[in-house]
Amino acid sequence: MPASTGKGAAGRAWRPARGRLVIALLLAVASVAALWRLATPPGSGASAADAAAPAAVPLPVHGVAQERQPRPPLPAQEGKAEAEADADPTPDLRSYVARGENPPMSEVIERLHQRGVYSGLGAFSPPGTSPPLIGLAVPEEFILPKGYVRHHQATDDGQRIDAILMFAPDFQLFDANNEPIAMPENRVVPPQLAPPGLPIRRIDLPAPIDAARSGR
Amino acid sequence: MSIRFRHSLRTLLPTLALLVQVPGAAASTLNQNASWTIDRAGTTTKFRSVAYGDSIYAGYNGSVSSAAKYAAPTVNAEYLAAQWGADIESVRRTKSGAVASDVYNNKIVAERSYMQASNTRVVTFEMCGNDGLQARAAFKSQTGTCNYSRMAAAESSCKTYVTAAMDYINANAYPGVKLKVISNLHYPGYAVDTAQSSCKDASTGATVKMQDKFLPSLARMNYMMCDVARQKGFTCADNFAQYMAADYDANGDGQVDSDGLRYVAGESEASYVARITSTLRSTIRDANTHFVSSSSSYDYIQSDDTHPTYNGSTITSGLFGSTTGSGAARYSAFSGGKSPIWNQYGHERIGWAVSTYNPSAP
Repeated sequence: MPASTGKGAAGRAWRPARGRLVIALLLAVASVAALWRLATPPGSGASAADAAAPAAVPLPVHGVAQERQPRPPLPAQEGKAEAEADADPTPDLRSYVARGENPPMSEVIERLHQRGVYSGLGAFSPPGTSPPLIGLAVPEEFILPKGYVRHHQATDDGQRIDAILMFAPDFQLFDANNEPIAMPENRVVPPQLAPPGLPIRRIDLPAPIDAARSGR
Repeated sequence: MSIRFRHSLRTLLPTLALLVQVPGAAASTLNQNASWTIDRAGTTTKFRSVAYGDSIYAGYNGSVSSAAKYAAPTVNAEYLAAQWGADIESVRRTKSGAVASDVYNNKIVAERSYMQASNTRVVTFEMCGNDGLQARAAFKSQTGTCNYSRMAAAESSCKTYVTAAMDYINANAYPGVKLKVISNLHYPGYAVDTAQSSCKDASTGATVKMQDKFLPSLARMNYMMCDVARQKGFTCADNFAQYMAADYDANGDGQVDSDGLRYVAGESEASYVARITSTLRSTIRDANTHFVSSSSSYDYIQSDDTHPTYNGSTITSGLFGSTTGSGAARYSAFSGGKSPIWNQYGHERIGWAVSTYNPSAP
């Protein structure tokens, strides 16, 4: 195709594709943003907080503690205190969750793991990893025989769960022939091993205060 | 839109989305700040207690938008309000998931203004739990020959930033601060860590019981926190001891088990670590069954098997911003210096442990 003609193979005038130009522009902006983010270690650089805070101490850089030591802090500041504000210059989860979205923590952790992130919240186990034990309710006024324990639990949203009956660690029951009875591994007393006189009632977990949240 | 443009867009949009939306490790944390004032009847005098830290002091409760109102620092604010006869503003500048360097750089230093207010009387902080959690997770995922360097790095980083934090607070907090406290670490998942590793030790060729590797590492960190505190004018709320053993003498050695685990001012690291990992090892129990007597136990740990349980309601803290509020204390007098629920929830226990160092006057 002779360039001088200014025509494409189909006879159209050559010009950059508008769509590709837009994409190239977006890519450039995103790349610059990403490079800036990568090149600016958390806790270093001239943040807004630092700019407003002449007293700031040179900071150890996040994640390289073995190589760099914090410098000695500056002397105590004289005069008026600085204005109080959210001054953490680093991005957190808020930067990546759409406005108004309130994902359950289990989903956040799962998403982080899908992206290979096991730090931060990604190092947490999701709610429900070790759910509350369910067993027989044991009223406060019930006098426990030796070897039994009143175990108290709470929900993740701060509610008390009815106490359940458990065996004390290392406690062993014996049958009429003085043979050891198989004890439950989790020490939660099953109805057939409940002490005489205990009203048999299995506890129910209280309903979540916010039904939308995950976990117990 | 031309077909060519649509095709290009379809090809390139995932790349754009990746560049813009994939959070890096630093963005996998969550700022969870709060300010809650214990409003004591009959007074308008207000003092402040400032807490810096990670998810523990944040009152993390498995939500991205809320946290426990009565996280440990606010529990202690109730004790302070009663002791001083004043309103106490519990300021929590905390970030869930933050490692020690993050807490130091971006909370203690970047948000130092909160401890510089002239009504600040208490500054407390905690850190290093996430360094340990991440090192543990990395170790658990190992196959082949075990590499312990990540745990050593966590210990090193913890010492670096704990020391720096105390120096920084000493130099920058309001000079009238009366109490500075560090909280050390409980061992979440102690029972689960009885499992064997997938990797094999280089010297023995065998898998290792993970608890046997993590406990000494945690003990060294906890010793360091309390011992550096002793040297730098801080006190140390020994949460490991508060959480990890019974509140009665279960082993018949003449002392309450939880007291037996406590850091002793001035002891050597070797002495402390030997006591925790050997001498009194049999008294250590997972905090999801914390025995307050031989017939009564409390689960100090939420369902994620990591974070402390708490009493009461939640406040907004996280994705949708933070709470600034006030309310009357749940308890306004403390018989024997203890609330009626001091040993019934994880956060109540830490808050009480911190309160034992409260000065009698502001």
